[in-house]
Amino acid sequence: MGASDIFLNALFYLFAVIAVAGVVGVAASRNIVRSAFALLAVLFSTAALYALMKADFIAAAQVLIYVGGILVLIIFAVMLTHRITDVKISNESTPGPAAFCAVVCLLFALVVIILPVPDPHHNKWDAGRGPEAKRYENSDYTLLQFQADGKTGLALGGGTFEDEAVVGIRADKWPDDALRVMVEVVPSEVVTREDVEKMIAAHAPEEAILRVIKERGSTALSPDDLAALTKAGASDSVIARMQASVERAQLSEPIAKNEPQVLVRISKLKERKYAWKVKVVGGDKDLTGWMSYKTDGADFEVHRGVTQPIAFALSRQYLFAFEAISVLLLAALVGAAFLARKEVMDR
Amino acid sequence: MSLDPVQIWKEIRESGIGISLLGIFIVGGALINLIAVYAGLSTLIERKVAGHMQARVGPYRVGPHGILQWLADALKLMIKEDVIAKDTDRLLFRLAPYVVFAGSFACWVALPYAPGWSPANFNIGILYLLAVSSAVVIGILMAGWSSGSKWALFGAMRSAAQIVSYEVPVGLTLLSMLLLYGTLDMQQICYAQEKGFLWGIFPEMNGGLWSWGINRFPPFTLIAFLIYYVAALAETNRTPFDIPEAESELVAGYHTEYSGMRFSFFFLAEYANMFIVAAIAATFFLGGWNPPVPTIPSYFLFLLPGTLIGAGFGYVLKKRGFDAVVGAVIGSGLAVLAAVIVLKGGAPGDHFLDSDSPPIAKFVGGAFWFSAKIFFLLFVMIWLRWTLPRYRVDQLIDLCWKKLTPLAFVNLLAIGLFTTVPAWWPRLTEWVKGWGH
Repeated sequence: MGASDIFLNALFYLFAVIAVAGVVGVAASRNIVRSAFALLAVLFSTAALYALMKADFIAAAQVLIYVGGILVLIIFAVMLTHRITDVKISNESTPGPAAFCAVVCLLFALVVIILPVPDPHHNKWDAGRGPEAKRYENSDYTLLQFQADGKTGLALGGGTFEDEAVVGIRADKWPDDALRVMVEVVPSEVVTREDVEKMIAAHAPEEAILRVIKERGSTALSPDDLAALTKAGASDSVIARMQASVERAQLSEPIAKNEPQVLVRISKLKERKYAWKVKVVGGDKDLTGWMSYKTDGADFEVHRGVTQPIAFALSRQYLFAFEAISVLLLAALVGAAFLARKEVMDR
Repeated sequence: MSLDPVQIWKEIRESGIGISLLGIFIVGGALINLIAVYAGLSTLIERKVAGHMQARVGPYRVGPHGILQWLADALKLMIKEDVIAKDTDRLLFRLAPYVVFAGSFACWVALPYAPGWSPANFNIGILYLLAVSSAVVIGILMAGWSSGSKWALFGAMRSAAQIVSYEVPVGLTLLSMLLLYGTLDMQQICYAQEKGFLWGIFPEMNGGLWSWGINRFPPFTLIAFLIYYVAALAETNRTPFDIPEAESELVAGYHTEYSGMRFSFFFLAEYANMFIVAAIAATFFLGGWNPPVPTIPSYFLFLLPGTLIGAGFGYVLKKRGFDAVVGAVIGSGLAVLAAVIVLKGGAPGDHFLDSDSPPIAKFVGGAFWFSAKIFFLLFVMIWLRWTLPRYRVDQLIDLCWKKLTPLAFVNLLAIGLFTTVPAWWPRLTEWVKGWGH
């Protein structure tokens, strides 16, 4: 874990503590206006957590909608009630059993969130990809997905890895005609760091260009590649893995000459730190250089602003927790309506 | 993860994160000082302009022509006693000025000051600006409620209602302009106004003034600009929309109970907000840092500051026989000479926006035009303040919901049609031909 990870983790815990403290403030405050203002801390720190997940758009939308809209509405509603300066309505009147049930549900949801849930769609991308693909069936790989826009020639991104290695690249045409590139990154237990170094040494001292899709029909590493690899002392497993990644990188349909091609470059930044970049050549515009992205830290810069990782996490890994929380929120809504009704009846 | 502190310290030193943190603090500190100086100077400008519009001189005692008045004001605010009344909610009362100030300060980091020069460049630029500035509303409500005073509470309610209402036309006009640019990034929006011409003819032409957003689809973009400017005026609670702090009704609005440094935070935030709305207007409608003339040689950008400096020298040396005009000529000549020497890296005479022009030329040129546009818009705000009477509450809400919002909707529709129909035109004609057969 690098220094930037420590820093990001510190930020995460800071905002998480603020969020939890805000929630406690919302629940425990005797004064309803103070509860509303404590909600401000919760909403802002949640937005900060989104920003730490590189989901800038969701963070901004969260602040815009919840702080700028809903929170203002809540505070307005509270202030427009009569005797605004001494509002004493609070959650003291919550019945004990309901509170107990809510706490149990919340704890259950927390446990569900913390426990890792196996992803049922884990190997969807590898279906029917040959025997090599099945090799990683049970390994815990991360799938990074990029959209390559053949029209502008703009693509993609890269990142650095310290404890991870790129093992596979695949490009697919999706039904909406967009070319999407998937990069598989596995922890170094699966592909050791020595293997990666050998891969790099096999091609060039400084950098290795793994040409994933060359032209139509290139389903295998060329004899030159193989010779270079063997000369550099790459083991059979490394060669097999590179072969697999080249195979997997085939487009589902054969590509025409002018269609964009996907290239992957692995370069060594410094000791124990490699950078990988993906780009598209061809298409309407030809790029002469690699897309430059800041690659500092073990940080996948390309995820910035992309909401897909969150969607993936919510709809796969944490699907059950997501559903449980939605049920809990529904219960809370019904409970709130119940409490409000009771307040009127007391008068 | 190793928890060895020596190892962690080594990693922190090697990764350069300390330097980037230091950079964050330096940029933040510089921006806070910039806001303070800008707010001080704009109060001085406001008072001077007001004085001259009302046929008096304005502040005149501190410094020559009163130009140091703002420093005296700042000193006064700093050494004033910080009074907290008995009925206040102490925590929220103390917190509110910081929330308001943080809301406007956070916007300053995302503005496009010069080509490629933004303290933090987001791809969600304008969305971030709109989101973060919503903290101001919360801070105002916090201040009004926690003051324990009915004037403050009324002021806060009015202010929040006004800001929230006027965010609708602001959002709609910005949305209609975003249809033209196709990006939320503030820098990209400026780059998009470098080229293009009226109604999308000659899309590759650098038309200077005619490439700006305001001239893209006349008259709709002009209407959008006017709607935005009026709504932004209301969002910053400026006259004629200053009912939240109407002196004759509410003492001073939501900051009635504040004094000293806490009051000055509200004051700074108010002027910082004026700058932000003017900057957004300049970016979206007036070309950002693009100059009004297609090509201006880089070194001419040093003419105006040079002339001003020269005029200053001439004024000082007047008694020794020099004339202000002579000083100005000498100053501008020296400035151009200095610029030619400084900009030797790029060929003198090139446009400062050229990709190979030196960064200093980009910064000076971009920042000059950007701030010139902002200060022009600020001057118009001041001008309106000392010209127009105040609206009533019902008139204000009426203007927003019954006039500006429907107009902004129609405008959005028109700009949307004019940006999409030309792209559909070939397909449409084909379809008509096919239908005839």
